[in-house]
Amino acid sequence: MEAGYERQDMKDERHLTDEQFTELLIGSRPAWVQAHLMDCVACREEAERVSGAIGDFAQQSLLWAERRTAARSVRVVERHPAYAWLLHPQAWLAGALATALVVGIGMTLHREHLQPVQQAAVTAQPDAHTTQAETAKVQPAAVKVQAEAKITHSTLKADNALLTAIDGELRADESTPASLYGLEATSYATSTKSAKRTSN
Amino acid sequence: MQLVLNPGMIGCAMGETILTELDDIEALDRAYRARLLRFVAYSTGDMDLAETVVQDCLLKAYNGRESFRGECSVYTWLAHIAGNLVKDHQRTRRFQFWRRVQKTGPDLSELSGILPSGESSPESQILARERAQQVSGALEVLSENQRSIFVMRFVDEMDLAEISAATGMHRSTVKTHLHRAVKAVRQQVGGRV
Repeated sequence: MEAGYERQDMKDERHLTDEQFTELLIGSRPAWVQAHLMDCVACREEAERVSGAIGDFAQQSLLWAERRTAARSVRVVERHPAYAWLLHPQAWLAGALATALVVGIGMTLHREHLQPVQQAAVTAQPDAHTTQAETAKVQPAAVKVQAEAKITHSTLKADNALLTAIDGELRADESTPASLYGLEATSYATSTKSAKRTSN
Repeated sequence: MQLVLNPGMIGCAMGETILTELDDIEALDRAYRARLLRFVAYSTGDMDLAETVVQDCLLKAYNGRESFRGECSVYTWLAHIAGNLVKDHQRTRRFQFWRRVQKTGPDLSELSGILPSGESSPESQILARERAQQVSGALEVLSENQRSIFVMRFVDEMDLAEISAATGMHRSTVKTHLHRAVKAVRQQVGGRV
């Protein structure tokens, strides 16, 4: 028996201390405390009031927790063995579909990746060929140009000769106004001089 | 022929029973969720946090069931896990921020607003609700340790040794918290304090 309880036992007119009251509510109820509660109306009423309030509180909190718990259930992902999915046929179907999808996508991507490379290779190789071909083509072209240039030069000479001949023939046939009127060029000149003198 | 009980055999049997209980997550949930929820809700005063902590606690206990040595009851072990989870949540900045925002303290009115089941008269039901609200109001001004220990003792009906094991506190510290909590409740209910 604790010292506080002994004092309480000796002085019945005193009420339970806070510590004793806590001990009483916790559940420690020695015989002398029971006797005190029988005699002391104030302590008994207070003990009943406090313990009753705590009991109401406990009951209501229990109801509240049960209602909240009923509304929800634990969401647990059970840890199955790694091979457990093999037992379900849907898993096989899903796995096959997923594999086909992955392979299809992979092949598509692979093709899409290869096509630009091949195109680049194809376009890159003819460049070399065309360069050589163009080089081969350019050489005859130069010869051709040179030949054409020679042809043009000779043609020009021939043309010039022809034109000179034509010009000569034309000059030979050229008729002056004086000749048209039966006058010689010299007579026309002298007549012009005499006309000037008379005017002076 | 004299029947001799072998403590080792008893311990083994108890261990197997506990392990079976811990192995079934649904049974664990059915048996302890309500108690844990009530404990954490009153300890923190935060209903959403309580739901989260209880969920995490049950999962953590289930996943770590092999570490349970059977030295205490399953509920004591769960309460210990839940207490640690509450401390972890309280350390986070987010919780501290919202705690600063909610300066009025935990809202426990929802818990005390439920009427007890109706064998008693409506008047006594209302009276019971008022008394429960008084206790709830007293808990609001307590520290979290005092509140959780009060709930463990008077609502979960754990003894001091179990509370000490669950909280990791010394028995005398548990008693001190309990004494302060009871004093606050007595003041609220109208005792001679």
